[in-house]
Amino acid sequence: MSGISDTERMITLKTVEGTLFDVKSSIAKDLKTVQAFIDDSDDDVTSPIPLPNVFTRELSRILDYLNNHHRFRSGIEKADEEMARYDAEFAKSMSHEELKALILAANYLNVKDLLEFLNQTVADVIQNKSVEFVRNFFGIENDYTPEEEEKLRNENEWAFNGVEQD
Amino acid sequence: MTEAEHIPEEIVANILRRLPPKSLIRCTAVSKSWRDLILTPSFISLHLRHSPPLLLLQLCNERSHPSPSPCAVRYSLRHDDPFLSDSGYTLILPPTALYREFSVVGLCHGLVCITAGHHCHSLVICNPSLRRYVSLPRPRHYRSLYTATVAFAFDPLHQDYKVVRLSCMVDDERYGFSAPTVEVYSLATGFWRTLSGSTPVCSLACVGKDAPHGFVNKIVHWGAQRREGDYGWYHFVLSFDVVHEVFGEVLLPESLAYAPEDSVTVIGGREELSVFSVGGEFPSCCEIWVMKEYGVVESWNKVFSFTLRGFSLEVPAWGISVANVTSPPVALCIRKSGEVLLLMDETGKGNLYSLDIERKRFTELGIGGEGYTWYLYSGYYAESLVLLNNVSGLVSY
Repeated sequence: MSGISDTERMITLKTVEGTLFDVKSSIAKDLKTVQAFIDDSDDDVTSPIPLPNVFTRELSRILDYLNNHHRFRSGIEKADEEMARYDAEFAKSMSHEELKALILAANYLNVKDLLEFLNQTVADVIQNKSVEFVRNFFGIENDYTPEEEEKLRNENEWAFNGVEQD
Repeated sequence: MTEAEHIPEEIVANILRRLPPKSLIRCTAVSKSWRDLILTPSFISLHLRHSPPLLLLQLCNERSHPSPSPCAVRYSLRHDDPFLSDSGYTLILPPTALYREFSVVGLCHGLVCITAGHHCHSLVICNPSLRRYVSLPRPRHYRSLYTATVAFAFDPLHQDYKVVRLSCMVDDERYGFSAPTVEVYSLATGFWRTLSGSTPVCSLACVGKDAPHGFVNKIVHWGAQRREGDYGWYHFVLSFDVVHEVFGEVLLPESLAYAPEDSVTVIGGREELSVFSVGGEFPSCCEIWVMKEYGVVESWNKVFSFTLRGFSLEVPAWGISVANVTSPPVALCIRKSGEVLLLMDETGKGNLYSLDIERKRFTELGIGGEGYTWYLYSGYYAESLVLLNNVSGLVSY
């Protein structure tokens, strides 16, 4: 049953810190930015592909996610439950800073499914939180004057009630 | 945070479109650029497209103890799963709606059109997830006995929400010989306009107190009939193009068009025009017909039929029968799955069934009520930000 890994090509990726990762070409397909680079090259890509915007920590996480999801999808029974558990752990294991960094890396590498999952994770985190929490999370400056903000809050008072403690 | 570490706006939009309106209102307070992003029509559309739809069920039971009291509408919003499980979600409606018995008469893009009392005379359009509403000015009220029905729709050409109201006189010699009076309300202008163009002579096919309608190609359709000779009726489907505000007639198959005793109503919810006909007396026969090619009479297909024989509802083709059915069922709507929702009256108890024609399944949902249960408008609701960026005329509650 193990035909695939024997015949599969390996691609090497190099992170900002210079760490090298060997990746199966079937996994590399999910990194659409990398795949486009491979498709555009006339000859076979043998030397490591540099990823100037991606750090080791992020690439390691992304590959971990993709490897696991490929494993789940290859037809094991009850994969859905295992996958949900893996996803929940994966999301919980990161701090907010790490989550944001991973989103940026997944966006750069164009890893669609992972990006959807991360975006949903962030949405779940911020859904019932206060305005200040959301500003902190995204690193956004408040450009409302105190009067403007007060007016906005008063117009929709009900929406600002029942917010979770940070 | 450096510039490079900021999450790009495209991703922010992808995150925010997953949030409910209440959270998004808070997000407009995060910064002015977030407010601007959330208020753009394209973001509002994006959010609506992904907002999970819930099926609105309205049932009106006649409470018969100690004495018949005015019908109270009970509504629930259901997940569109096999048994229509109750989502527990409630619509927060404006206070004016609570003064009298209200019912929902239209749903569109997260907006709810409600009427209180009779004759679709007291109307409100609201977005419950934004707690904004507008009370419509009074439409015309007629001294004679009449029925009035409304349809609520979006006009994409004029980017406007409209309510079309048809009134038919029922207590005089005009019944069946005159055309309904038609008024159209536009949210953009805030006024009713009486249409003076030609409206076909007809009265609308009613179930209980309402005339069911359905949208096909963004055009509203009602079952209708007009007098033929002295005693006969001719049935057809009346259409109204909300954009151009013109009426049309869609022909029914001959067996339905000239069946004098039948009632032929439109079932909404599917992109193909579908009708439900009830005819004959003991046994009576109910049929569902679908127009496969819009406007082509030959393309009408009878997709289903059942017989009401004695008090037993039978589906001969499937060998199914349901006992204790006292009157012909009512078709509420067609679900997104294509199943037809039917309200059955089983010796004084209303009961909902879901009919899956393709898979030949007739499922009892266990949803209903005590006492005679009336049909009311049913459709899909999804939370939305629609009208968040249009403040004029709208009141917060």
